[in-house]
Amino acid sequence: MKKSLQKAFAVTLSATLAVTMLAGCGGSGSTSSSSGSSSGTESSADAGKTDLKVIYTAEPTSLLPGAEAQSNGHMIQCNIYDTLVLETNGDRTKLVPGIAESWEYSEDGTTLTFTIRQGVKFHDGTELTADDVVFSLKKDAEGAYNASAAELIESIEKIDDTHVAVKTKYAYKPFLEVLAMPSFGIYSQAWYEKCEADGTNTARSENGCGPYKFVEWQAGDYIKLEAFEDYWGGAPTIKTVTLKYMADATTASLSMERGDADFFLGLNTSDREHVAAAKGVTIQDVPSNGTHYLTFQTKDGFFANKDARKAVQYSLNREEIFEGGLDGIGQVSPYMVNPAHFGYVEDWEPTPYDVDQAKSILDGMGYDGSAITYKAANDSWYQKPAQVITEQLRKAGMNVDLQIMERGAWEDDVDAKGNSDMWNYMTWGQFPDADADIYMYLHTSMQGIDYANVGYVGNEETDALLDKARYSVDDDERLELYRQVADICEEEGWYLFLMTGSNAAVVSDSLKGFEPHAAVFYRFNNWSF
Amino acid sequence: MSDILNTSMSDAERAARRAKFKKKSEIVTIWHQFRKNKLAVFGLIVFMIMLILAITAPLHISYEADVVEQHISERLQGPSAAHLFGTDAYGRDIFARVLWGARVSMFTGLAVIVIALAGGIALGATAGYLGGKIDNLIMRFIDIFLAIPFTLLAISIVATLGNSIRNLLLALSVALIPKFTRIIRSSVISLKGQEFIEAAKLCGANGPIIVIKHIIPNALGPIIVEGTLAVARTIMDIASLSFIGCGIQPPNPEWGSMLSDAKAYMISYPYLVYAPGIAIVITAAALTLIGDGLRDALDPKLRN
Amino acid sequence: MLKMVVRRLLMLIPVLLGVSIILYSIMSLTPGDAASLMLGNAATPEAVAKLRAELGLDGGFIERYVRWLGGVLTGDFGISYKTRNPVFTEVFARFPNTCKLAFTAIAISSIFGILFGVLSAVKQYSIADNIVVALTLLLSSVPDFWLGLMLILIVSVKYGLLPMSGVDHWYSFVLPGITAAAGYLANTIRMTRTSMLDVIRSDYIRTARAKGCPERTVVFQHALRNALLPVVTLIGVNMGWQLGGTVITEQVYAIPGIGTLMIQSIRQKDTPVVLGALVFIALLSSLINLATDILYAYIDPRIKSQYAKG
Repeated sequence: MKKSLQKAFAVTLSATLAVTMLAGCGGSGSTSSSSGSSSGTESSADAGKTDLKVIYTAEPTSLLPGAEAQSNGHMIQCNIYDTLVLETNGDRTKLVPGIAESWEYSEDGTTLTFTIRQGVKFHDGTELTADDVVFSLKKDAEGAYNASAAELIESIEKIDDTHVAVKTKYAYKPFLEVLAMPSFGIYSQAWYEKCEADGTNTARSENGCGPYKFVEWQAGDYIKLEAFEDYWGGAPTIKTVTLKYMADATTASLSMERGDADFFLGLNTSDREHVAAAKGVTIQDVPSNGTHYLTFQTKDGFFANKDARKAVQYSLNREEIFEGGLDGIGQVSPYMVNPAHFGYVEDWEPTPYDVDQAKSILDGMGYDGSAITYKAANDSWYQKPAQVITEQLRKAGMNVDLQIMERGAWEDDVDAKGNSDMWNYMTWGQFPDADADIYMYLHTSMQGIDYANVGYVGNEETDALLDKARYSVDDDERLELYRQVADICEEEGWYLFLMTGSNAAVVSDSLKGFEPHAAVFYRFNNWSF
Repeated sequence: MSDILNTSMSDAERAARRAKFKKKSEIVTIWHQFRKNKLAVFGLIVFMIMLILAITAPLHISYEADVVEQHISERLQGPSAAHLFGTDAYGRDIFARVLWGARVSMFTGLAVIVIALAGGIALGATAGYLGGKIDNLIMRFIDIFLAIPFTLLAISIVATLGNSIRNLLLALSVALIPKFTRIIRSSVISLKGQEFIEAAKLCGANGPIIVIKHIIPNALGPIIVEGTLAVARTIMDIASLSFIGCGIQPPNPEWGSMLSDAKAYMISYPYLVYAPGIAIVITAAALTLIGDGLRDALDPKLRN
Repeated sequence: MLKMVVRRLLMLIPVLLGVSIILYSIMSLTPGDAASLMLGNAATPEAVAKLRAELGLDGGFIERYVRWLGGVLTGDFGISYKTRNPVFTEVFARFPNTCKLAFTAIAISSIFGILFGVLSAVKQYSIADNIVVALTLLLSSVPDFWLGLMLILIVSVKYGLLPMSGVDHWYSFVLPGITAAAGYLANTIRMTRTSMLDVIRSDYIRTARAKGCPERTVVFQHALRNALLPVVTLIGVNMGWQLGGTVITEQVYAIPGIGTLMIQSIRQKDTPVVLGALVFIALLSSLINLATDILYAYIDPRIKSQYAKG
C-alpha cells in the first residue's frame, strides 16, 4: 500500500516536472520580456522620462519598407527608416527635407532631382550614399505594397555622388507625397545584400537611417527600439521604445488607463466612454484616411439593374449607419474623396434618405423578394455597418442575406473577386489624394482586376474625367473634375460613400509633442516627456 | 432433427421477446429511480420550462419586430421596465433576443447530438459488432481524430468551410463522433456475447437486424446519458465558437454571438454580458443535472 | 515494460501520420489565397502571382503534402507566410505562454479538485458536500469565455486586483488559469469524490474501521492512496487536453500563446503556421497521454501484469 502511494506521488511529481520543464524551455525568452516591462510602469512623475511604451493591436508583417500593408507597421518603419522627404509632425500636406536636402522638378514636371544629404549614417555606422538611395528606392518600388505607386515610376538613377533623379511616366502631382511614405524608406545596400547572402530575414533585422534602431522583436509580444545617437537630425530625447503587442483593444485601453503605457493607437469606439472618464490619458482623434463605402456587383445579378441600386440609395440612413456602425466616432462623409485628402469638397449632397421612394422603385421593377447576397468581413469595423445596412434594406422591403465571413476569406472572395451582390469596405488612399482614393475602383481599365474595380463599374465619361484629373497639375481643375466623377457615380449608384472613422489614439498626458497624423506616421523623436 | 431445431428456435424467440419486455419495465424502473433524485427532477423541470419558452417564443415575440429590428436611437440603454435586460448596441431588446436565443442554442445543440449520435451509432455498432479488421480500421481512424483536440478540430473545420450554421453543425458533429463511437462500440461488444443476442442469431436474424432491433435498444442507456451531457457541452461549445467568430451569424441571436458583440462594449456597459451568459449556465446546468440523474438511475450499483 | 513503451510509440506513428493528412487536407480546403492576403488590397495581380510562386503555393495537392511532410520529418515545418520566419520558431516562441497557462490550470484543477473531492466524499451529505456538489455543477456549466469575461469585469475592471491580460508576471496567469481550469476542476472533483466514495465503501476500509483505526488514518492512509489512482490518470489526460484547450482562454485574455497564434494565423491564411501549431499540439498531447498510460501501468499492478503477458 505504502509503495503504491509513493508511486502515485512520484507519478504526479514527474508529470509536474515534465510540465515545468516544458514551461522552462521558453522561460529564457519571456524573462527578458518581464525585465523590460517593469521599467516603464511608474506613472505620475514622468517628466524627463526617456523610455516610451507604446501598445499596438495588429502585428506587422515586416519592418522592411515596401511590403508592409498595416498602419502599425508603417508607424514603426518611419522610426527606423527615413525617407527622402518627411511629413511634418501633424501636417500631412507639408513636406520637409529628409534624406534629401532639397529637390527640384524638371520643367515638364516628370523628373524630380534630389540632393542627397551628406554625412547621414546607417545604424550599423556606415555612411549613406547615393547608391544606397537608388538601390533601396528600386527595391521599395518592387515591394508588393508599393505596386500601384511603382507603376508611375519610369526610372530611378544616380546622377553623381550627391544627386539622384526619379523620373515618372507623366507629371503626377502628388508624387512627392508618395516618396514620403515609410514604404519608400532608405536602407543600406551592403547590409541588404549581406542579408540576402547569409539568409537573414530582413523582415526582422533592420538597418535603417531613421531616429531609432531596431533591437528585438518577440513575435506576439513586443518590439523594442533604441535611440540612434548618430541620427542626422540629432539624437532623440526618448531613448528606448517598447512596443507592446496586445491583441485586444479593450485590454489595451485598460492598460492605458492604469498608466502601463504612454501611447496606444486604435481605440475601440465602444471603449471610448470608459477611457474618456479615466485620468491621466487623453483621446486624440485622428481622422482615418479611408472612407467607408457600399458597392454592388453590376456585371450580373440583382444590382446589374440601375433601379435596384437607386432603391438602395434611397434606403440608406447614413446617420444611423454611422451611429450604429462606428458608434458615432468620426464623421458622416458621403463624398468619394476622404475629407483629409486632396480632392475633397464639403458642399456635395448625396441622394436623400427616402424609404417610400425606395419601396416604389422596388415595386416598379417588380422585385419578388428573392434573396440578395451581402457578404461582409467579420472585423467590427465592417461588420457593424453591414448589420445596420442590412436592417435598413430589410425595412425598405429587400430580402438581404447577410453573410459574415472571416476577414481573410472575405478578402479573397469579395474584395478580390466581387463574389457578392453587394458589400461594404473602405477606400484606402495610400497617399492623401483623390486619385489614390478612387482611380482603381472606378476606372474601366481596372475592371476585373483583383482588388480593383471588381464590381465592373465606370464608363467612358468617367474614364476620361479620371484620366484628365490624374494628369492635370492644376488644383482647381482637378477638384472640379473629381466633382463631376462623383456626380456621375452617384447618378449611376456605383458606390455609396458613407462615412469616415477615426484612428483614435490614447495618449498619456505626460507625453509632449504629440500631433495627430491621419496616416499614423508617428515619429517618436518628435516626442518627449 | 427438424423438431429439435423448431423448439430451439421458439425458445430463442421467447428469449428475445423477454429481453424486450424486460426493457419496457426497465424504463419504468429508471423513471422511478430518476424521480427519487430531487436535483435531477429540478433540472428536468428547469429544462422543460426553457424548452417550452423556446418553442413558444414566436407566440410572445416577433422575430422581425423584436429580435432583429434595430432602433439606433435607443441603443445601449440599461435595464428598465420597457427593456428588462436593456438594449444592445443596435437598440434591440436583449430580453427578446435571449429568449429567441434559447431556440437557436437548443435546436442547434440537439441537432449536433442527433447527427453525432447517428454517426457514432453507425460507426460504433459496425466496429463493435463485426469486430476484426473492420473494427480495427474504424477504431484507428477514430484514434486519429481523437488525437486532435476537440476545439481545435472544430475551429479549423469552421474556419476552412466558412461561417454558417450548417458548417458549425458539421464541425461539432465530426468532432463529437469519435467519442460516441467509442462509447457505443464498447457497449455493443459487451452486449454481443449475451444470451439473447445469441438467441436472436439462432432465429436467423442477420447482422444489421440484430444490431438495430436488439443491440442498440439495449445499449441506449449509456447513449442517452452521454447524449444529454453532450447537449449541455455542445450548447457551451457553440457559444464558444460563436464567441470567437466561428459560428452563428448575426442578426441571428445565438447566446455566444450576442456575447461576442457585447464584449467590445463590456467595460462601459457590463449589463450586456450578463443575460446571455446566465442563460447558457442555466441551460447547461439543467442538462447536466438530468444527465447525472439518468446515469445514477441506470447504475445498478447505486440502486439500493 | 520497455517493449510496451516501444510498441506504444510505434503505434503513435500511423496515428500522427493520419493526423497530419487530415489536418493538411482540411487546411488545403481553405478558400482564399495567402499571397493576396499578405499584400493587402493595394497590390497588383502580378505582385500577387509572384509572391505565390515564391511561397511554393503551386503544384498539386499530393505534391505539396509530400513536400511538407518531408520537411516536417526533418524538423522543418515550413516558413510562415506572414513573418517569413520558420514555423517552428513561431510556434515555439508562443509555447511557453501556453505551457504556463496549461500548467497553472492543471495545478489549480488538481490541487483544488482533490481537496474538494476528498472533503466532499468524507463528509458526504454534509453542507460542505452540498456546496462542493453545487460548485461542481456550476463550474461544469459555465463556458470558459463567459467565466473569463466575468472574472475580468469583477476582478480586473471593478476592483483592479489582477491584470486582465498579459504574460509579464506570474500573477498575470491567475485569472486565465482559473478560467481554463474550471471545466477540469469540475471533472477532478467529481472523479475524486466518486473514487473516494467507492473506496470508502469497500471491504478493506470497513475492515480497517472495524479494527478500530482512527478515522483520520483510515481516510488519509488507506482510502486516499487508492482513490487517487484514477485521479492521477485523469490529471494526465487533462494535461494533454489542456495544451490544445486553452485557445478560448487565450483569446479572452489576449495571451500570446499557441491558440492565439493559431486563430490569428487562420485569419491570415497562414496555413503553414496553423498546420504546424496543430500538428505540434496533437503530437504533444499524444505523447503526454502515452506517458500517462505508461506511468499508470507502472503504478497499477493489474495493468502491468497484463502488458507483461502480451
